[in-house]
Amino acid sequence: MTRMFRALRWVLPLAPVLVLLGLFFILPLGELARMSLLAQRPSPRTPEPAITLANYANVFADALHAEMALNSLLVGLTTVAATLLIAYPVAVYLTRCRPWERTIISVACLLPIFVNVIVGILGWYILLLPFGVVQQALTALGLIDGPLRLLRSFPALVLVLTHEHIPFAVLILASAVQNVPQDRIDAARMLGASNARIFRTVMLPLTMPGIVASAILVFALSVSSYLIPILIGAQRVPVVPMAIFSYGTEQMNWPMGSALAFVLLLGVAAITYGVTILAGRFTRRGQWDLV
Amino acid sequence: MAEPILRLEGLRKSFQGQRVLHGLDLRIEAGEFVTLLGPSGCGKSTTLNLVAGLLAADDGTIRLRGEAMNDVPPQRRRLGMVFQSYALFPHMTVAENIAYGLHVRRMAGRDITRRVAEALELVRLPDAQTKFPSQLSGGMQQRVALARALVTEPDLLLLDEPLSNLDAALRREMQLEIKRIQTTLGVATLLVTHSQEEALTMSDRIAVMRAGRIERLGTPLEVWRDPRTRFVCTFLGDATVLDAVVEGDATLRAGTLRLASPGAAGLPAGTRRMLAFRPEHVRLDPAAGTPNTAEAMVREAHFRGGHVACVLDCDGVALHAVLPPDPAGRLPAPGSRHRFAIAPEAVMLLDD
Repeated sequence: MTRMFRALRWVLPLAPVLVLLGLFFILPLGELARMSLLAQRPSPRTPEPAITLANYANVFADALHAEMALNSLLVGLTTVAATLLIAYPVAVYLTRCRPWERTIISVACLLPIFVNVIVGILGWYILLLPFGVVQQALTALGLIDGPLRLLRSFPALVLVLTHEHIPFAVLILASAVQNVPQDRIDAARMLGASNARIFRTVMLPLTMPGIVASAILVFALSVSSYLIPILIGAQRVPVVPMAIFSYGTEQMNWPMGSALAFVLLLGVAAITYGVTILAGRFTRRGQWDLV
Repeated sequence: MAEPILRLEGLRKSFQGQRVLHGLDLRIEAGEFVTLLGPSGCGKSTTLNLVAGLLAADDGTIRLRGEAMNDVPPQRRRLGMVFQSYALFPHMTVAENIAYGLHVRRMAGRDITRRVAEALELVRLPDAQTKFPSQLSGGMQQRVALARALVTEPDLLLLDEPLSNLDAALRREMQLEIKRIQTTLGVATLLVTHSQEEALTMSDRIAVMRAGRIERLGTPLEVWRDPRTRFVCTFLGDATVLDAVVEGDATLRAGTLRLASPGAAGLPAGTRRMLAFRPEHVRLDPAAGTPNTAEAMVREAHFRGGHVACVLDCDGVALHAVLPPDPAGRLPAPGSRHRFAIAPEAVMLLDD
């Protein structure tokens, strides 16, 4: 009796979250998994199609899927690299600057989150279109002659994804950088270390949890993004979410879409897990605590 | 005269228009242990950070071995520093922490291993090599921080309130330990502290600071016996301070209390000064013929274990006295009248 009460005391506060997760995450995910194993979409004529692994075989057999997977991976990794390279210095500056500068940077970082994704993309559209702002400016300066394909390209896609995701990285990294006590940096300096060495041997390992967290977030958001690739890269840079959307709506092949979505999900999970393990090994996390 | 290890001349520093240091001068000779002692806000930590190079001086020069250091960045000043929080690198083992400064100097791996082992031997932690800082007690972290600062053989060791995070017993142990290590290596050391006990125990010389200036500089004994100002006297320990008038013939009068003091010799009669004496120097029931005696009533007496703390009332003037414990266990009874004596050499003359 008492044991049951004790268990209840733990479960009750968690109940809303558990119900929410169960209803809106576990259940749809289970449905997705089931769907990915069906030979065809259930219909009134065939309410219970045969169970098969053929969809998964098709996912790996199609050369277009392989190209999309490679694109997705490259887009994700490049976006993560670009985001970290820009966000880390901003985060460091954010923790060292004057209060009014901090306010301005924080607002500048947060504003893009409040702007609707479509509006942001349209902004980039106007800049990058053939005969758009960028091209007109370059032509006026005499740097280029004739139209330039800026919009439908890999760099443009990475650029817009990076712009979209920098705020999250800055916010996560700023708190990680803030947590490195100034006297650890001073101690390294007193021992003769250059700024580059301090960054490599003190800042990087001590902010690694923040780097990993923001990298995972940005990677997952970039790889699963649909709107930005379809509007910026379009058919020139096909990525996995486009195919999932196409199977789900245009071709009405739900089982194939489900199988592809599941492979994407597992791929992102595997990469996330691998990076976390690697970073943990690099900094020997778990063996030490901040003192 | 040989060039001192550290020479500070006319050092000034302000923060947001607030003057923190007013032209500070100080010398530290080879092998010397000098302490900056003062309350918080007196500028002692600022001075240390200026020497370290973590702050830039507004005016004045910092010389290490005669070389001006004002424009030399901290990483090239050849200093060792122990921080108040120890500032050990949490993600490195003890051995890696100590080896950090040696790696920076591109020393060969074999030499680093040997020097790290020697440094750990010196601070008596030979078995801690592979531990992480979070696995060590505060006192052990302190020893590692000291080893890390000393292993690079710095010209000058800077200690920034290194003992304030330790409990009382450990603090006393580490005072002697740091002093032992400092004497063994003969490294010139600058300690910043607000604890008079640390300063008196460890230093060769103490600089007592107040509001951005050094108010008194001398050996612990000199500073303690002849503090010269009221501030230094009361900061270094308890004392009864009374307004006094010189009566000629090396005698001072405060109210009805008349005390002889060699320091008053030669001062013209009628000069107004302050006299002070430490509670430890007040003796109760002196032998007949002892100089500087008077009568007082015991107002309070508190047994403190090692000693008895008393407040005496001498014609309305409150005097503090610390008495050795009576072997028979008797305490002076409150309300009882006693004669007391203060040795003339123990009567200090102070300015404000």
